Amino acid sequence: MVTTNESQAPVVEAAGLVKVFSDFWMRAKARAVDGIDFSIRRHEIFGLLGPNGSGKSTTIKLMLGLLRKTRGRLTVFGRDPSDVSIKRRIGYLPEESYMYRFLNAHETLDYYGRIFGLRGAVRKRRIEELIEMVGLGGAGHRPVGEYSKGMTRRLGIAQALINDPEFLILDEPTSGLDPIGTRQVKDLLVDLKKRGKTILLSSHLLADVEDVCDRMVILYGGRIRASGTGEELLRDSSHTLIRTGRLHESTIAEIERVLASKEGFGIDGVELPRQKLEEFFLQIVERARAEQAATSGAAGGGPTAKFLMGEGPSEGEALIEGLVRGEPAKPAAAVKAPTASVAAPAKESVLEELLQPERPAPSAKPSAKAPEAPRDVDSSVIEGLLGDEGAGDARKGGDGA
Amino acid sequence: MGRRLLELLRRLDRWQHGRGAKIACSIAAFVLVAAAFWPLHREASRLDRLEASIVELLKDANLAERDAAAVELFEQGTVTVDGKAYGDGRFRGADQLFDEAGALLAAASVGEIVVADEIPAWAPSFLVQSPSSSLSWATLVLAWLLVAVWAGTSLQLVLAVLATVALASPFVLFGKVGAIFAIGGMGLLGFSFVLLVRLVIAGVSGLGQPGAVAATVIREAVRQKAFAGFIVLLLVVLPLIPLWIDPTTPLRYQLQVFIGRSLGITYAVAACMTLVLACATVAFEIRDRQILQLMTKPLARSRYLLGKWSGIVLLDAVLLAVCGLSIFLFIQYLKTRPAADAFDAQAVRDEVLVARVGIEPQYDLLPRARLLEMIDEAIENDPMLRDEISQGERDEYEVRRELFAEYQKENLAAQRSIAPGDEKIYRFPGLAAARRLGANLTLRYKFYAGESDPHVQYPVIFRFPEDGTWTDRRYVPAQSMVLVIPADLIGEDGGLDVGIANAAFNPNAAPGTAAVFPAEHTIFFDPEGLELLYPVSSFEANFLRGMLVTLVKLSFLAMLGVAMASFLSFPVACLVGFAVFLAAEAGPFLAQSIGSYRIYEDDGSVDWVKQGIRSIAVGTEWVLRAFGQTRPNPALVEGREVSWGDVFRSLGVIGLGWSAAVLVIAMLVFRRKELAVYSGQTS
Repeated sequence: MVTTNESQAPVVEAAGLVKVFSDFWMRAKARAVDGIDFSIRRHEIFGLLGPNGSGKSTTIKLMLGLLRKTRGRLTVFGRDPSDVSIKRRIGYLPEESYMYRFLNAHETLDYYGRIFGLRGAVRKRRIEELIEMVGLGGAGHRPVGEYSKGMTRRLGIAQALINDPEFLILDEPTSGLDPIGTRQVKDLLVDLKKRGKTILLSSHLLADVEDVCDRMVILYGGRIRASGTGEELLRDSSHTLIRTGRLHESTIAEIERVLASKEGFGIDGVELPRQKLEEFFLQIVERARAEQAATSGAAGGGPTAKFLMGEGPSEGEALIEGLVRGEPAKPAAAVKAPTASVAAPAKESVLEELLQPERPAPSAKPSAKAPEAPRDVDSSVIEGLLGDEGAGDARKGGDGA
Repeated sequence: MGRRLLELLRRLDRWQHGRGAKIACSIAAFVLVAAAFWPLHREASRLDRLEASIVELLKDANLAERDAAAVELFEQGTVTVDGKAYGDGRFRGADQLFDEAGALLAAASVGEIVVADEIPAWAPSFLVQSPSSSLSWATLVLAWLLVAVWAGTSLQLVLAVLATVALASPFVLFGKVGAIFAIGGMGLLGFSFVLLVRLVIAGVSGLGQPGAVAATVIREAVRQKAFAGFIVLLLVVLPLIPLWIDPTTPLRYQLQVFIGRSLGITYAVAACMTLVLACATVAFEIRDRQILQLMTKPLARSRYLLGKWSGIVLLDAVLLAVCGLSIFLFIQYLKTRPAADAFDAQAVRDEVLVARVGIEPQYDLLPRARLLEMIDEAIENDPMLRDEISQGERDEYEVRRELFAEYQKENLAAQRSIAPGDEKIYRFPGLAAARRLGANLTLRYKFYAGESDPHVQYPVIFRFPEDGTWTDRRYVPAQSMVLVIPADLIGEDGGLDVGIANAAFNPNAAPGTAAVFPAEHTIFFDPEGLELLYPVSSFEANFLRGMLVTLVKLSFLAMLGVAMASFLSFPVACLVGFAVFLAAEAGPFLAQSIGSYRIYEDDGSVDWVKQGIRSIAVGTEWVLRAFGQTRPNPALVEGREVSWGDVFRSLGVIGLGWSAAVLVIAMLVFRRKELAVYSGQTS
């Protein structure tokens, strides 16, 4: 339960935070974080930017109590990061997904669900929804040791969300994911923000941060070099960009004349806009899926889990549902917050649209069988585009396509 | 074909989880058990009645009085009941079965042996031992089947049975009964282990955070090849042990060899697995950084360590339950094998499959006044000692203390030596309970004489002043020997006097000459060299207590491994864990070695390096003494009692005290430990 005072307080507050790593003889080995000040407000997506070794992961680990600060002040939900009780409200995706190789996806999520003390029916429902969401429906019962890096990453995302956290910390969330997975993560972040979640996104992939973050800091050498909203940091006040239909050469010359007479300068450059590679790639995939080409490894992923969207039965309802074993309760209409400051995708979800032809009905169980590729289609190129790096299982119609 | 078979198996797997299927399978199990065990129970009842009739007939049989049953047994080696003669003649001419008065000594043992020959070939002897045992077996098998059915493993059980039959069938062709038993045992053990693990995981998962961690540890142990190897090794080796037992040796030794080897191997493998698993499950989790993910969840570090520990202890419990049950069942089978003779059967009953306690004789201590007198005399008569005391080179109090101990020791040693031709009476008090029970006592003795050459035998005579009876024996020096003593020799005051004469009986003594002659060498023995053992409990209960003590020891090893791995790397944690384990197990030997470890140079000065080594050894031995002294397996082999006191003492000291101390140390370090490491570049 969040009180009024608490709802106004920042989720994370750091002041003069310093972390110095020492060697065995207690001699300072490295100053990974060097007196940083920042705060993360409720319901925002906060970006932590910086090159490798800039102190991003160390800052996150300090927040999670995995490291102890050397100096300064750091609170999470107003408490010391080592306080176990605050961890109930946090979801964390490390820079690499450290999974138990001998468990399968269901067992992994069940384990973490039990650690969070989730009740049986709630836990089971969330596991099913998360596995469907991250596209591991066909591989849910395979040992994680057989997963490719991308599949493991997807499972890592699922485990970070099992407790429906108020504050989600994602360290390089798109690392190891294919463009579809990357896009899905961005969509997920937007969805979660709509539900009022607070998110810390750490990345060195600037496009990821730019697309979704409200505010950000840029770290280098353990210090903050710049901070602010995307608008504040990236606005170019010295130029004006006008977007219109294709113009004739004479029209351009006319405009240049007008500019010279009115503003005293001409046009800096004229070019035909290029489509983004990401969009082009997604179109290719959309076409391939329409042709029902087969792939191995993780499927493209499903819609955001209902419980993360505030839909589906509440925990109390789920308990009753488990007791009476009746028809599943109909999901409540989602309350969508306006998204003025975030560059939301034009459609609800590109991924959803891609998956539309074979997406199961919300209450239906996920299909374990992927569509088989038509025999006369050479799907290797498409598979190459869609497949995770080093996908271990190439069975057709097996663990998802 | 393969695909169809897989589909069929999938369907059957789904089907077996339904309530209807479980009820149907339960009924089938009940019918199966009834069909298998009803003929066995009928046969057991018949044999039981026959044995009762034989014992009734023989219990008052007297050869000296020419009793018909005694004469038939002595002359033809048979017993006739209802007009039918039983027995194969092996007792023909066995005069050792009768005492001096001609009374039959062991009617019950004779009855057992005769009836054993009547067991039909189709009935395993251990299943028809008695009507109650056949019913017990039937109940046990039915319970096991029902657990398998309701755990949703009926299909797996059928497949395991089919696989075992397929593996064993080549040996059936060659008539290798031992191999068939071994393969069957492996199948049974393997399936039972899987079944129990499933039940434990299902049960423990719901027990909060530590339960979830524990369930994951168990999954890790049975799914990771390195750990599963230990389990497989145990489940494969255990059924092979019976193949190493020589069936021609007396039954008593067969049983002792089997109990010793099977329990020893079980403990050794379980201890190694426990240490390796305990170190690995924590150290690898830190090394591979799964702990980074786990510790960002609301899981306290103490709960994490407790979960890891309880998972390993539960796995040990499952392993011990499966192995212990199989060992126990095989002992039940083994004890129904025919004994070499009536004395062998008696030894099995009185010395192996029993729980006995041992008492040492009561020695007379020198009165304090007499000792002080002797000390004064010694100082008075030793001018050098007087000088040393007067000049302050030696402390008088210390001198007196040393002399006090020395004289008392000499006094006791004198009571434990018997000169040639002498007799000494030793009193064993506190046997009132043994007298009431009426079971035979066992006098265990280990004498030394002359050069104690183990290839020579020396004579000795045991006499019982209570009724004046005696018996002469020959003993091998430095080897433990036993003498069975009837409980009716215990006096009304609960004490038993045993006279030991260092002499030999002369069977050819002419009238008027000495009936005994003195032996050549003085007999002497250690404080533990003379002991009287008497039964206080059943073997079954003792076995259970022994397994509980073993589990307690393993639980400490689990805590040790988990604690070490929480702040050390896997190899270092293993090294420390195994060093502590071996030092603790060798505790009694270490204590002996320390006693004879010299720390003085030839000139009498102290070698400080050796002093340091000795101090470490003494400290280690002192700290780990309880672990080494708690040894349930040798006690079970020797038929000695592992009391509930032993169980609770080991639980309190090793299981709770030591484990808690190790956990506290681990917690102090682990709580402060930074689980993440620096991964950037050094400045």
